[in-house]
Amino acid sequence: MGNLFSNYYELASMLLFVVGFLILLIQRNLIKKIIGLNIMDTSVFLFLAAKGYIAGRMSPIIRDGVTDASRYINPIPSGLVLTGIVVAVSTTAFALALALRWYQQYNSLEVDWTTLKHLLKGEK
Amino acid sequence: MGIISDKGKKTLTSFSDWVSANSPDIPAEVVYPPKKDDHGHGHDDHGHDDHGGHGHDDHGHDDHCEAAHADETHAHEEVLHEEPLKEASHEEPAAEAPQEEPAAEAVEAPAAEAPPPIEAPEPAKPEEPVSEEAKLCAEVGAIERSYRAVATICGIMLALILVVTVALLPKFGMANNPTVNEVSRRYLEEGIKDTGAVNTVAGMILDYRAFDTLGESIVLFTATITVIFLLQQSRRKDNEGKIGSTEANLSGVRSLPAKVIIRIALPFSLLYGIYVVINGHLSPGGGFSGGTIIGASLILSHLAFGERFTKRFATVDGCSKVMVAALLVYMGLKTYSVYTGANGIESIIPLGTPGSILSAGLIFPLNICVGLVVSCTMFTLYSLFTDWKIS
Amino acid sequence: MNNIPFITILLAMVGSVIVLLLGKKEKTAYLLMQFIFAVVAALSFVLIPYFLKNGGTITYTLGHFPSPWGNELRFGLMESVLAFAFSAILFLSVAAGKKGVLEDVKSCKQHCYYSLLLLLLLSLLALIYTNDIFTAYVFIEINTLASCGIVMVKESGETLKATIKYLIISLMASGLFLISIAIMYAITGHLLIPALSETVKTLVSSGDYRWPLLATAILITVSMGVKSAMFPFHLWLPDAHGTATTASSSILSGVVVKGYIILLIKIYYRVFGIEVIRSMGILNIVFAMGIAGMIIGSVMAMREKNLKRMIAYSSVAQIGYIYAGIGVGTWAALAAALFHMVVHAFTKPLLFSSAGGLIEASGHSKLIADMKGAGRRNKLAGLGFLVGTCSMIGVPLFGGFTSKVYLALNAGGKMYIFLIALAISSCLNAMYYLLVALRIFSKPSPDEDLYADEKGSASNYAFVISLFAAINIALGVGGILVYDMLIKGVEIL
Repeated sequence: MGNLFSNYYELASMLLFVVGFLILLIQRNLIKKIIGLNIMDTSVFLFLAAKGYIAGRMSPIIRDGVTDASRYINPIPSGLVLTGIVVAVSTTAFALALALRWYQQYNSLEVDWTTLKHLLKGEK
Repeated sequence: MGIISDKGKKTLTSFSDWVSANSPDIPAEVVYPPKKDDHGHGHDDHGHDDHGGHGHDDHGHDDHCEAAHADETHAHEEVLHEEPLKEASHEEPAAEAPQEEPAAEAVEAPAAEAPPPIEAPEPAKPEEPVSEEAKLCAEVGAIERSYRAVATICGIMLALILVVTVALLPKFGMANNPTVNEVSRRYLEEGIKDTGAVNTVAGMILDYRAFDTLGESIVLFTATITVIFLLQQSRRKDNEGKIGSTEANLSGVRSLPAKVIIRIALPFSLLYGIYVVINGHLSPGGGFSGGTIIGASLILSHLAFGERFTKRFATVDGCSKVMVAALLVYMGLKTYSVYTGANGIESIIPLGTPGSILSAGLIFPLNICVGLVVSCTMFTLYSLFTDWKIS
Repeated sequence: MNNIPFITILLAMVGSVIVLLLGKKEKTAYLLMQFIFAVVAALSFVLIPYFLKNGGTITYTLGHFPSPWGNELRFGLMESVLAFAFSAILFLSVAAGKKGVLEDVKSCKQHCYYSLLLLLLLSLLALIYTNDIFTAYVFIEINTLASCGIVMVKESGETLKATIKYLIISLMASGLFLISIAIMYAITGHLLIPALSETVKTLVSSGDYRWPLLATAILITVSMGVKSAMFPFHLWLPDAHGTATTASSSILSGVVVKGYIILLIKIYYRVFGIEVIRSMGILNIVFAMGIAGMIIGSVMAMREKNLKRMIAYSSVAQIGYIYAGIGVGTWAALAAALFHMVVHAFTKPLLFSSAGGLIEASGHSKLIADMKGAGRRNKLAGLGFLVGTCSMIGVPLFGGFTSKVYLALNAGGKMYIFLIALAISSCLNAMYYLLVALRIFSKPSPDEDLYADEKGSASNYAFVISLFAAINIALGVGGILVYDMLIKGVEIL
């Protein structure tokens, strides 16, 4: 079993990743797809944050001039999460704008056959 | 599981081939010349597009299949995961390679058999469109069901791969994990000497790994361009039937308590945002978090008091100009530090006393730039989304 | 000299921002963008003789801190050749597709389009030069957003659909890439490639974390495979490339897809080391997928009746060649794959640009059936298409022939499989491309000659098409030079 249950944060994040992945796959509604996308991204942030944590240490802001590395947690994952969040925000904004345009074009947020057929009929 | 995956692959490939063979050749927008030329093309075995005036239904059908198919790709990609694993366990990759071949070639066999279901509706096409539609519906339903089943199986496989990976990863929260190495040690122990920032995360993202962060701001910028592209023009169209009333957009919510509370909270939240930005190198936060707070305050004021109020100090155009200016300053500062760093020139910017507000060299102005970029982006995106009207 | 890559990146970055400011002056924006493309190409070209003379690679610290602490760029001969090729292709594709851009993109939004193109160049340069996988992730996202952006600029329902499909698939792939970086970071603690590869080496020799490493390699292969349309994941490509405006199609198939392949090569060779990838069995999968793509892409292309989609499917087949070359796993084969990549990168824009001309000459119908005689009406586009066709089929003296020969010669133990697939694929290529070529040059019957005599093409279009064609023939005749450069560049990867 390895570290499966001591790594419960990572486990949860991986399961969330798959949940987001499946939502992105299976849902037909664009907004739900975008939500799935965000779940997927956020789960990676949880994973990274869990990787940065070290039991019993402080946040990586130097206090009282003590620069002993054994007092602070790892600062790198925090920075990566920050970058990841910004990227996720950007992609979400773009996807939402596309969804709006889709709605304008077809009056629906579903990306499935019945709507599309109806829509294409309307278009001609 | 190997059996399942192989099966899944087979149905998938045959399906994918089937779909691609029928992908829409006729773009919906193009207006065709009236002439009807019999394609002398070698391989239009289905003649599916030759329906002419009756093409709508097929079209919808194809479109759907394509959409489903888009996702199919992912279904498929997960199935693939299984194969390397098999190989790894067998330890004989070379022997496995030829086996891959038949699998790939096999795609063509089902493809050749696939046409019947498509050809079936064709004879009936001019007389009874309804029944054809029903048939297509049933077909699509079947595809959809199998697609979902396959997708679920693939999701489960991905879950298994990831869970096994987690089980083998280093233990959570231990001080001797591989991530705790000389890199994080240097960031913590010499961060102050190198960058002057007490907040090592700020030191890391704005000095050690500043190029990433510059890229990150560019991602925001790219998103803003695309959203402006998609939404700005339509915004000016005067359409009726908008989402959200114009009145709320112009003069904010009607609710008095909300207005009062926001009026009280607004200066504080703005101030707090500014505090977080300019203390980025000293305390938790920085340009990104502070910029978000400032952006949120702007959005809040827009929500409460409407466009009439916010346009006095923040418009989409103004915000994008500020954003561009901040980005240019950001790039300029970064170019300086990269140029000096890469060419071994000593930077003349003093690092100051750690802990004081005017310290940490370039990190302080960079945080302000980032804060401006982020807050302007947030507000621009929000305005574009709310002002946009759907016909 | 060693500042040049950073300067090119900076130029693209600043340019993209400034172009946005030139809202109302589309002409100036266009000229500025083309100027930046040209300058970047020229600067990258300057690097080639330098590296030919001095060899080796340069590691450029972005800031005051070297690896493993700070971001870095790393470049050598291969990177300079690719950067030059990519920026030149961007320049030429936009010049050739300018008319289409003016028609398809609303004039008040053209500056946004140009800005997106510059961002695309920026991300490609960063992907070519970067020495850090997290930087690669950030620039992959820029690349994704910008390339989805240039698909959707046409703003029709069709492109909207293609964009949504493309975006969702790409973002899924980005998610996989991000999580594989996270896993990799968790087991190595590094993000910079030199430090990462050291750690991976020790991990492999000690046998620790075998499974996580394997999982990472698989996830990265899948995510890059999705983004670069490796065979089973190619299904977004015909839509995106087939519906976009001509310049976008050229750029997407010419360079964008290749950026991801280069990143994958970097990760294989510099992070894991090719032996590790081979022992994991991934190379064989990549090879098999390449072979499958070669054949199935061609079969799909044969069934297409829409010219642009046909060319897009042919990209799938050509990407199959590249992956087959990578899958062989030797330096020589890798250089051959890269050479094929360069040839394809110059040929596909030629085909798409000529197709744009042909489509215009047949009343804006994309159907091959309507193209009868189009090559006679627009002679230049017809000739360009013919040259591209010859190159894709592999007629001697054209670029495609030389690259296919190198691929076949270097296939090593997999030569027979490769040769068989190559023969099948080339025959199929010949069938569908020649059919189109015959159709566009056949004399239309008088009642079909509806679109008589378009006015003469713009002079820059003529210039670009002939330049593309000339480059193609040059690559065919003097391909050995480029191949040698790539071999030298690859060996120090």
